[in-house]
Amino acid sequence: MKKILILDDELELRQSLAATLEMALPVECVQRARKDDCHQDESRLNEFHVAVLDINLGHGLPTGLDAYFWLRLCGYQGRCIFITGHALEHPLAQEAARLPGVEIFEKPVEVRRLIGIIKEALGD
Amino acid sequence: MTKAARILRSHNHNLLLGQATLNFLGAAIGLLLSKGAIDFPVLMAAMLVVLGGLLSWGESRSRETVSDSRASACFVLGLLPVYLFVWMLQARDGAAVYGTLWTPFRHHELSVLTVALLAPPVIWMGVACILCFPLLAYIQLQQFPLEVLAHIESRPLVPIVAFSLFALGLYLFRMRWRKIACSAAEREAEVRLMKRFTNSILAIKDLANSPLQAILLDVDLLQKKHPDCAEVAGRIGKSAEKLRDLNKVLNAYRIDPTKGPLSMDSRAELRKKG
Repeated sequence: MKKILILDDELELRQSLAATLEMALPVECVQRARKDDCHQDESRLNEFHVAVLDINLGHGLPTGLDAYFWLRLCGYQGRCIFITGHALEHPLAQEAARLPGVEIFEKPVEVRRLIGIIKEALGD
Repeated sequence: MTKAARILRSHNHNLLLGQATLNFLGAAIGLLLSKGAIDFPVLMAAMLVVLGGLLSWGESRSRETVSDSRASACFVLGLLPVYLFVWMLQARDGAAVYGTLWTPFRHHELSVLTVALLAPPVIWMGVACILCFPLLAYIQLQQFPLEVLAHIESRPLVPIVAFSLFALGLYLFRMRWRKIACSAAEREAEVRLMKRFTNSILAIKDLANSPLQAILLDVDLLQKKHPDCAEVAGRIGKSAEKLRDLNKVLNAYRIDPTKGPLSMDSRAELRKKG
C-alpha cells in the first residue's frame, strides 16, 4: 500500500483529507501538523510516495517550503504537492511554484479533482 | 489623519508662522531703515504689524487643523497693518528726501514678494493681497505733493508693477504645486487604503479556505459512507459551493508583488489598524 504524508496545521483538514484519500485510493496517510513533527519519519521517508504540504504552518513556525527543503535534504524522492489557503500570487506560493517536481493548488480544491491530482502523483 | 490633511495642516501652520516672523522682522527693519521721522502714528502702525504677527503666530500654534479659509482670513488680518505701515513709511520718506533723487515704493517691492511666498491658499484672496500693493502705490503717488514728485525718478510705478506681476506668477505657481502635492498625497492614501483592504480580504480568504476545504471533503465522505444522509450532505455541499463561489469573487483582489511584503499571518493582518 502506498503512503502519503499530509502536513497541515489544521487538524480537521488533515483528518478529512486522510479519510477521503484512504477511502478513494489504496493508500495509507500519515498526518503531521508541523515540520518538526516530520523528524520522527526521517528514517522511513522513502516509504512515502507523495507529500501533501500546506505552506503556512502557523505564524513564526517553519513553513511548508522549509519542510520541502528538509524532505529533499533527507533524500525524499517522491512527489510534493503544495495546497495553500493563500493566493497563488503570494510570494511564498510563487517561490513554491518555482521548485522542481512540485505542483501547487489553492484551497479549496474540488474533491474529485484533488483525488485525481493525488492519483496522478502516485502514478496510478 | 490622511497624509493630504497633514500636508495641508503643516502648510497652513507654516504659512502663518512665516507671516508672524516676517511681520516682526518687517516692523523692526522698517523702523530702522526709515529715512523719515518715526513719530507716534508710525510707531502705532508698527505695533499693529506686530499685533498682526502675534495673531498669525497664535493661530499657527493651534493644535487643530487650520482650514484654508481660516488661514487665509488670518493672513489677510495680519497683512492689513502692513499696508498701513508701508503707506506711512512712504509718506514719511517722501517728506524727508527733499532735494535728492528718490525711488519710492521699495518697501512695497519687498512686501509683495513676501506675500507671494506666504499668501493664503484661497486664490482670490492671495491675488487681491498682491494687487493691493501696486494699487496703494498708485493711489499714494497721486497724493504726493509736486515738490516730492519733482524728486522722484521717472515712471516710479514700473518697478512695483513688475514686482507684482512676478509675485503673481510666483504665487500661482506655488498654488499649483500645492494642489499637485495634495492630489499626490491623497492618491497615495487611497492606494495605501486599497492595499490594506486587499490584504484584509486575502487574510479572510486564507482563514476561510482550510475549513471550507475540510467541509467539502467531509460532505464527500458523508455522501459515500452514509447514502441515507445524502440529502443533508447535499445541502451542506451546496452551501459550501456557494462559499467557494464567493471565494472566486474575492479572487478579484490579487496581490501586487511590487507593493511590498505580505504577512503569512492572516490573523495578525486582520488585527492591524489603519
